[in-house]
Amino acid sequence: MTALIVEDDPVSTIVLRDALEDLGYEVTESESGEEAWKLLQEKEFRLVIADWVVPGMSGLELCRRIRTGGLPKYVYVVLLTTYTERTNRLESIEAGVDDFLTKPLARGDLKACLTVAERILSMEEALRKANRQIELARQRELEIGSRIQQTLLDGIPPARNRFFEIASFSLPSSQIDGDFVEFFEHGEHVVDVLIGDGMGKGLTAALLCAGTKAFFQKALNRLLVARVGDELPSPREIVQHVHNHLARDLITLESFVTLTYIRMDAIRGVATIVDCGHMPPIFWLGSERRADVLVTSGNFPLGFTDDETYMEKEFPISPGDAFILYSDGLTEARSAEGEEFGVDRLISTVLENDHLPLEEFVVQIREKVIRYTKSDRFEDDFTCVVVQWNKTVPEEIQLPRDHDALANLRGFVSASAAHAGLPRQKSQELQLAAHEFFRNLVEHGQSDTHGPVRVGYRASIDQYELRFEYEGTVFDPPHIDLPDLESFPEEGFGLFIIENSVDELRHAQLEDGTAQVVMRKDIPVSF
Amino acid sequence: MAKSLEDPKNLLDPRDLIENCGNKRELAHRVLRAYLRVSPALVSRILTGAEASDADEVRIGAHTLRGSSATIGAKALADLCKRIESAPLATSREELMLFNEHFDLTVGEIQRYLEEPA
Repeated sequence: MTALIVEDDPVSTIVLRDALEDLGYEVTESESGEEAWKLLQEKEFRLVIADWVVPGMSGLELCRRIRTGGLPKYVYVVLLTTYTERTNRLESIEAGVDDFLTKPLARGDLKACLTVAERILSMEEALRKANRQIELARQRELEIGSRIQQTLLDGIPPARNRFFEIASFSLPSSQIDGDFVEFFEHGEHVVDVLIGDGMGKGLTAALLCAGTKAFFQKALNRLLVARVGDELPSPREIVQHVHNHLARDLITLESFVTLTYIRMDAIRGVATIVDCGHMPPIFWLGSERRADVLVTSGNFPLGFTDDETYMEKEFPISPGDAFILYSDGLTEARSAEGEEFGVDRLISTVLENDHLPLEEFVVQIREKVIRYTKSDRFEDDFTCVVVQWNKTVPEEIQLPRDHDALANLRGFVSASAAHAGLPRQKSQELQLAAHEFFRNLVEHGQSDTHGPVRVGYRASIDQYELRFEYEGTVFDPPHIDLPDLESFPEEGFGLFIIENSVDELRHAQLEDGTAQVVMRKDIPVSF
Repeated sequence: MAKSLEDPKNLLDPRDLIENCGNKRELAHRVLRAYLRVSPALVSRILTGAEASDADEVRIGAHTLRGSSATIGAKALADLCKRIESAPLATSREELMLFNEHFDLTVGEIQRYLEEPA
């Protein structure tokens, strides 16, 4: 073991050095506190025996420097003293001195002192190794947690959705907080977004959240298989299903998960939200360029109680509207002065950047928080998802002559009608007419019709026109006052619905052989 | 007060030194020779410091000489140093003269001891 003697009296040094060498120590001498501190920084010494009074920095000051100077290993400090007063000893112990030896130095005392020193240093070494092992294990856990987060917790937003655009980012904290995000697409016109956060940190939180997220996929699959008809399971049913199967396990694990499940439906023009203790979403009203914190149902987080009945809330939405979902890591990110970023600052950031494309928009939110905290390392995970009903609706789409295209047709009609300013009731009537017409075309189309159907729209301040064009002979049905409801299948019921759901229905055979059907709805104008 | 000067054992009792040197007589001799080499400068530091009323000089010199004197077994001189160290500027000229005389006697005793056949 290495020992450093700090003593300006050569007589005492000779005796001490010989005794230490006899005990197997490798000894270095220093005559002043300053020189000793320099040596301690250059070389590892596990034992320092210093005289109280040495030139310059005293033995006591040297000890204080050793304790606060950030040396990599613990140094056992023995103070050589002729002072025996209790107050001095107390001051020395408070400064970090481990033991005392008095002059003249007795070999027996030195040996006893060093026996204790070696025992303590050995325990300290064992503790240090154990701590290192713990630290390595923790690092390993964080690596696994980080991999879980990157592979299992971060959902991939759907690409090239005609009706919705989604952008997101997630910055993991140094401790893995377990934020998770998932997206479920139901055709092009309906998209579900799930954002959640599990209690705790590290591997436990990552596993908890990965399990919860996987269970949502499982719940959705189960409910889709079990459904009757085409109706999608509602967000409330999905969350309730997950709760029913997971709550007891979460309670047993003394854990819980906060989340928000949101469905945006372009056909109905409605967003449905189930909030379970997560940060309240921000709703950006595209038509007014206004951002508000949504007041949601206030359900408990999953795992808070095992008999929760979850509620959902619906909000009307139009093209251009967006929801900003985020984790508490974002709003609770702190500046150097300790102030939280907060929801108000997030709303200001949203309004400052709402003119940007969505991908750039979320980058600006991320950069704003990073600039605010002056750091890119956060105490908590930091997740943000923005889902927007596309501001622009294509003027025309092309649909295969197939029942599967009906959902996209309704979505297109809903989006374009909302874009044109057609009231919701009239939009739903038009969707019904379009649905019936397209279904008729698929099921009873003329024998010479073939190829896809082009569906387009045109709008003015007081009129909206939906246009169908396809190759073939136009079917111009006779006017029907009332369908024959006695027969089965009901004759003319679909035609009756179409005619009575629109303000005008026109049929035309164009010169190039294209069949054209136009449905007009009047837009009420108020002055 | 310092131990009696008549008893040479009070000037130098090297038994503890030899024991603390692991009963290595040669090492004890080396320590004593080191004492003879460095201690005159310490005495000079004490006396000069006292002349200049420099308490720190007197105290540090007395402290170091006290430690080395105790180490070699010069207990009486160590006691004198302790008194000077605890009240560096309160030591009278007579006491300093006595201290100096005591130091000379101690040095003489060390030299006699070193010249003794093994």
